[in-house]
Amino acid sequence: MKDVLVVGGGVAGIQAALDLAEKGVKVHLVEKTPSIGGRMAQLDKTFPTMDCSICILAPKMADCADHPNITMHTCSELTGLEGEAGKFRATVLKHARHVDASKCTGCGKCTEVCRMKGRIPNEFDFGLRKRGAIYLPFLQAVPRVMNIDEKKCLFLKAGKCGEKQLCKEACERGAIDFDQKDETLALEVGAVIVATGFDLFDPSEMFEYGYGRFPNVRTAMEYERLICASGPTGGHLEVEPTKEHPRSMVFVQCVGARDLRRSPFCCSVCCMYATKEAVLVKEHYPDTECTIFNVDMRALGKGFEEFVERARKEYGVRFVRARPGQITEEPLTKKLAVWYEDPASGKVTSMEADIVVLATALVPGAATAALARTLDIEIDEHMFFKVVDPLMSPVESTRPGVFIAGYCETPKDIPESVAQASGAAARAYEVLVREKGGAANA
Amino acid sequence: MSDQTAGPVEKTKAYYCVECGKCTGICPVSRGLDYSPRRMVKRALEEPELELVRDKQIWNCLTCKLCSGVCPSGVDYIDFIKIVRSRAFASGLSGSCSQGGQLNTLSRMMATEGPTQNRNFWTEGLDIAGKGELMYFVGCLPYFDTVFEDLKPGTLDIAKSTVKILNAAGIRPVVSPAERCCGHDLLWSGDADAYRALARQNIREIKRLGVRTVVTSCAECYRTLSQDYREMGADFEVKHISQLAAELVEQGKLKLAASDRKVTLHDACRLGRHSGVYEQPRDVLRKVASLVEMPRNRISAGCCGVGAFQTCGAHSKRIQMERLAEAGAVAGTLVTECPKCQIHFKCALKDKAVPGTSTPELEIIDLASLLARSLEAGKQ
Amino acid sequence: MVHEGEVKAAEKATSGFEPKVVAFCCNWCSYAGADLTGVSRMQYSSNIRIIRVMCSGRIEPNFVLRALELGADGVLVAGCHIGDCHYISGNKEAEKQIARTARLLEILGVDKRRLKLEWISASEGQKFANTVNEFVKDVRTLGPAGYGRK
Repeated sequence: MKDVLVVGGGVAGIQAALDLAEKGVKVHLVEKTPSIGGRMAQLDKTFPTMDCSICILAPKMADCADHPNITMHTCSELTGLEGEAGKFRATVLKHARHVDASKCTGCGKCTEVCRMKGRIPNEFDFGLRKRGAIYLPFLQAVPRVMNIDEKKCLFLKAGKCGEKQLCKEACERGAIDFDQKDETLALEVGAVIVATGFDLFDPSEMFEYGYGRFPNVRTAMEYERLICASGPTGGHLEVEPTKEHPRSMVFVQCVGARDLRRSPFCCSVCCMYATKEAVLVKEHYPDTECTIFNVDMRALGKGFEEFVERARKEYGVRFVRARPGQITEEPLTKKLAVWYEDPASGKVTSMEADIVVLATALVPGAATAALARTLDIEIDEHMFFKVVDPLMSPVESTRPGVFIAGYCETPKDIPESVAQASGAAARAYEVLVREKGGAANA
Repeated sequence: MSDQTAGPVEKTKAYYCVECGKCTGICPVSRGLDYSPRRMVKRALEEPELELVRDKQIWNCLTCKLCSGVCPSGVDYIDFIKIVRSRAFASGLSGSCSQGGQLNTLSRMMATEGPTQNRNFWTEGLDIAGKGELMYFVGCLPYFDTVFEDLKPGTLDIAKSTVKILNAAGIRPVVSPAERCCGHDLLWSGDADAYRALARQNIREIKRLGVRTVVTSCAECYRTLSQDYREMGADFEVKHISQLAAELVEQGKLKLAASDRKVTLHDACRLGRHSGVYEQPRDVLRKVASLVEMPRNRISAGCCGVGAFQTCGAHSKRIQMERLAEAGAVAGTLVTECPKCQIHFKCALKDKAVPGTSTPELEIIDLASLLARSLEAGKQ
Repeated sequence: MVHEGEVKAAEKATSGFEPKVVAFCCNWCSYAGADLTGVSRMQYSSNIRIIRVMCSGRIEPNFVLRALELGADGVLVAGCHIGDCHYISGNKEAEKQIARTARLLEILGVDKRRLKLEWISASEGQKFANTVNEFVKDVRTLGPAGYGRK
């Protein structure tokens, strides 16, 4: 039986890979960042159950690493897909991480001595923490192999790192290899599953919110990292510049989403995750005022409406049906004022906030258009991958043998992504069986 | 939807409004008056015969366009208000216009075909042409120094400065005695017919003189000539003096003397948010002074507090004082791009301060006047 | 004053033209003066339309401009003599406003002679008649102002 290629190592890709691996299929899991895990690894807790996100994801990540049928290719990208369903030839470019995966134990001694240590904003924490040129993206990264940022490593950039490369000296296993080259792999696969997830809209262009100018205005994902116990502040929310915990917090929904000039669609998860985030604040700091500014409350799943009611009744989270027109900052104290039209009184008023969290739009990544061309599948005007029959077969892309799962197809939450991933895995398996010569409905 | 409501709602996509109130949250007038753009749109959507026209609040809008800048549904609120006002005017209603309404009366009188104005009296000693490819559109500048005598607004100085700048770059601009008010205030206060009469005559005159490029020193004329006149068949190029001056400096045709005097720039609504011109005024301003930005600049710039001279009041004063305080905190000189902004700010400075605030020490000068002064300094 | 020669020329050009003239009269002096004119049976031009205001100082440029815009060919403003204003300095304000208005008319291209400011007291019935008649004659000579609703 042929192998299957899964593009994207987030929760959808991981689920699809595990499903297929359990059926005895060999899976190539391709992920462009140094670790699998994706967005779910960056969250603190998941709604509505308030499970610790990485705690329920990490076992699956470990399974991927351990499973004999799964080969992970991290720091890798798909660069070509020729052939047809059942007989694809995929070309994968594996960027050199300059660390020998077979030797590295992930001990981290190299990261402690790197000359660039603490100087580079790390991607996983949205720049809220700093790393060195040799690094592990996050604590629970899989594979637990270091990698070197070619653009920032002094030796790789300029040919010289002081008198000697300290990382190489510190490594007891001799795993660091500056001569490692990019590799191109040619993979024979029967089917492909695309699960490339989403990127985040940058709200700096929305002058009315002050993101990027006011230090206490954060995006929702930045907030997740801040409130997370393994995050840059150890789970403490700190108000600039005093570093005290916030006494009042405001959440602004639909920033860049449901916006006819930017992303007109609804991202489907923000109403719920904002409620969750407000509840988290209340759990950490019960006396902190939390107000969510929204237009609608889209609580569509099982237990969601009840969760929102709990937030309102038990935790005292306030919901205001308005979109703030402007956020201003008091220059000395950095305290924020959120200006809005109060729907009850019709008066324009301002609400004081120590921290404002913007629920920014979740959009298909910028590289999606190029990937769609490589895969030869269609995308819509918002760069979501098109499925052939959105009603009856919402996992089939416009090219037979290539399947879609997760947010990259249309906005959805974690349970929906996992379900769709299993669906894509099952459909991919059909292709393999057909190719092998079996199954009735060929 | 009746014919009455179809116009303002359909032309401006107001039916996309989700009533989120973001427009009202950022509206500077809403902070001082019981006014809500959201409510205005809601009424137009809900009431069958556009009873909104009878609401005095439709005259409160500054048409500053901060709301459109943040509306997620892309509703063009100021266009909506413009059309509602023209419906109101057509039924005999109007807002309260400052200065007793004399400015609008002057504009309407200029719309009458026949009487010729004596509007070029200020051009003595300056080099102008009767016909040519580049015209300086003066607008209502010849009148402002008289109407606003008590403020000493220095608006005629803007006109003289503009011609001086052009002369210094070797340009003899056409300044036509048959020119008339561009019609901006009439258009935005509902008198669409009189505006069109002015537009027709101006366009005819511009064509007659063989003009290809029109330069103006007023942001409101700029917007009107470059956008609204297009619908009336205009096809000439329009530049604001700041844009043309920036180009002339780039081409080496205009030499300006540098100085390290600290100034800040107030982006006029019509030049900034309405027309997207932010950088060229700064490029040329940096050649003659040290530019410091206010916290609210470019697309987020505050408004000068009054639009088309409608409904000026305590709330306007508050808006003006906030902006002046913002300017005074960063520089000793506030540079404006529009004679209206200059008039409104000077008027605000002249009055007693709002209780609890203090009037900043601030010089207010138009960009063209500043550039002309720098020309003089360069000659010495 | 309008010149004799102009009178002859104008009479030829605008025969049949009857000017519309608006007269803003202050309540305490000039309007009372106009009353006296009437009571004394003195004749004055019927081209005049009198509008009573409490003080000549109330007259702002827009009153004059609107009168012209709506079809008046001349505007007369009559107030108390300086020093006699019922509101002390209202007529001083009138001087300022009328000077400003005259300047605006000049720029507009309207002959300044179409606007006249005169001080007429309550006892000067004859002066009122003379002023009106002279002014109407002058405006007739100047011809139509050229504005006016169609």
